[in-house]
Amino acid sequence: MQFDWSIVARYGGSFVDGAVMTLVVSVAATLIGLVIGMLAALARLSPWVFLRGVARAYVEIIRGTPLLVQLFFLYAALPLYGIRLSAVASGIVALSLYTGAFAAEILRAGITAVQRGHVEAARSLGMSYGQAMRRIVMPLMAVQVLPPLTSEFTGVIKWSSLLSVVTVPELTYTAYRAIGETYSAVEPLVVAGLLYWGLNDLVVAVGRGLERRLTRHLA
Amino acid sequence: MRGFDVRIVIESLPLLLRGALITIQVSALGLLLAALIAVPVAFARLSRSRILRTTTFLYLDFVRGTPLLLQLFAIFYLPPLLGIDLSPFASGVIALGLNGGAYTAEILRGGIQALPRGQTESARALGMSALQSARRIVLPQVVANVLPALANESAALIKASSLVSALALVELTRVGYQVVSRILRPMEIYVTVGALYLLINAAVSSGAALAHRRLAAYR
Amino acid sequence: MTRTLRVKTRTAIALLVALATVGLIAPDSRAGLLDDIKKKKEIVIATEAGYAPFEYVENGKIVGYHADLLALVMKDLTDQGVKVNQLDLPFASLLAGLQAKKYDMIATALFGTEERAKRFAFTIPTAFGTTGIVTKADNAAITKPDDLDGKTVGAPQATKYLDQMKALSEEFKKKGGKGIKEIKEYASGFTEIYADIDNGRIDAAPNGMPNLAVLMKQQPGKYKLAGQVGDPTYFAWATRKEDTDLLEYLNSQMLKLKKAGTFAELQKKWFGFTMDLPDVPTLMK
Repeated sequence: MQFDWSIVARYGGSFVDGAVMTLVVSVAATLIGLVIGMLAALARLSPWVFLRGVARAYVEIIRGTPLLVQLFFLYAALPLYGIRLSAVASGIVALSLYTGAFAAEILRAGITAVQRGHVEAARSLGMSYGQAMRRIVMPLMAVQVLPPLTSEFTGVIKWSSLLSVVTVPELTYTAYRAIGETYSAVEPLVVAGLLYWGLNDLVVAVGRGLERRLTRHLA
Repeated sequence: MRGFDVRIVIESLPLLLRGALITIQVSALGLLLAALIAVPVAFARLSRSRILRTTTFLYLDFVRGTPLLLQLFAIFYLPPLLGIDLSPFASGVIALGLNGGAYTAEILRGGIQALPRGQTESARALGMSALQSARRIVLPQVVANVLPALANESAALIKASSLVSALALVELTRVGYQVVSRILRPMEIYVTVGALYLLINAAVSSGAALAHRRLAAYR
Repeated sequence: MTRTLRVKTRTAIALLVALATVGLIAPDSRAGLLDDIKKKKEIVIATEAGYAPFEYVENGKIVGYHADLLALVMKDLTDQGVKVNQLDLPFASLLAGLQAKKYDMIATALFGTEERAKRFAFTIPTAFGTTGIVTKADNAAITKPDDLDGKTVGAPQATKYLDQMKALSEEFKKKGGKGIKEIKEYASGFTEIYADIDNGRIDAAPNGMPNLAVLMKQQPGKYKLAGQVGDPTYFAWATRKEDTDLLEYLNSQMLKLKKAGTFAELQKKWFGFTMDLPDVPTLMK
């Protein structure tokens, strides 16, 4: 039994489309997840017990249950309550909520790590609170959280493969379709695997590049 | 607008618990395999042999850079080409073991490298072989040090076991899906499924906390 | 390029080259699958148990028309001590798995098509599977297949239903219509499809008439039928082309059961009516 290159040729275009969808969904989910995570992190550090409790519950529940279950839940249960999202939208929502919970913990650690001393020093130099946040705290935090966040993004790319189960036409879905139509599992799985591996490398390389640029002024 | 019907939860509980049992079995075996793989791989990654370092690096990079879902499909559909046939349960255990093993190996490697060299040096000076010093001095300390990360990884593996439902293995998520297909109450069922996962994870993390305290007693 | 990137690229290329040439791992020539099965004392059968009333899961067991039929067809083997290992797997990769020798045969509601018959062999038909269209009960806009022009439909991946919808869309376009607006492909099965009809993500879907009859019974009032599509079609079971001994066994057992009236009995039990089926494998386009 030979490796059937014609399958690669025939489905090459679809695989590229699938990879693009994977990237689109992952970028959207990571960005939205970052916003959610930041809000949750701030909520957990806020002085109001209720806000802290809600944020804590969100983080614990989302991090403690499988993404697949959350996905099924959003896809099937929400329409019953009148919220009807497309498959892609439900997928992005589920991924964003999932990654947001993990990002919340990373960001919370990052915020608390930046010592109060920095803020006080900046204020004593005459900076407003906003300026202090923007020019001192945020950059310091960025350097601290960039590595874990890059790995968070690569994680999202891999988790996006679950969206294939709810008809989102990303890379794994495309591989599955090729398997069904060609009756051969080897070629689609190999192509999809190599594409994911390549995407992963791309993201890691970009992350490292960003890290270097941001820390240039600190070296 | 439907309310949350607790009776449905009670009625489906026996079926769901049976699924939870399969989840625990798959996860336990997967964790065992992961542990068995992680230790030699972690040391191999740090060995002096270039071949060993490179092969383990490729394994780690590939497994951590591609989606678990794809790895699961590959393990299920590819071995028959080599004459080996694996059931969905076996494929799940192996996929979880290989995947979890890779992440655990990296955690262990970080811990090993963080250990002061003095430990290994004094062990060897006392006449222990490399294997003995690894087993009796390095490993226990590393495990105690990285226990939180290991507990995290175990929780991740238990959640990842939900993916084996894609091969129609009747673990907790799959059972939930089947029940919802029949009685069409996704809200009640998926919330219960999520709660069961939270319970399983809570049990594991309190076990880990207990282990941590007992190991830390040595210090 | 960094060193690790170089190493990885070289490995990826090496992997592809290896795959291109390694196909020379020839399986040992076998005396015959049936003999192997009797020697191993096990037959592995693949099913997608999400298709009432043909095969579905109830209380953890696979039941249905095909489940009953399978037990009877396998009786001669089980009497000789052969264990039947029935796997429940997603439909889309059933045929790929058969090709990859993950199991010995497929016993599920599968259409015998000429396309599939190029790679696989089919038994005599087990049931009728004419395709019907289902839509939401209060959907007045769709009452017959022609109304699907410009609408959204859903079908499971890799099924004949999907091909039928694509062909239908082409027909619409040829007659000057817009074609089907979107054909969503589902990896998971009919549960999602029915739910999505109910919540409006899709307007309609195709499925076998017997299945739709069961749906109407199980969930009265929610859905309605909107006509039938295509010629009468038949379900059959499948084996690999080279496993002629297993195929012969299956066909001879089925013909025996047919003559004894068991087929009609089972059909009455699961569908409520009997079916007139050909005695030879009959393929559809």
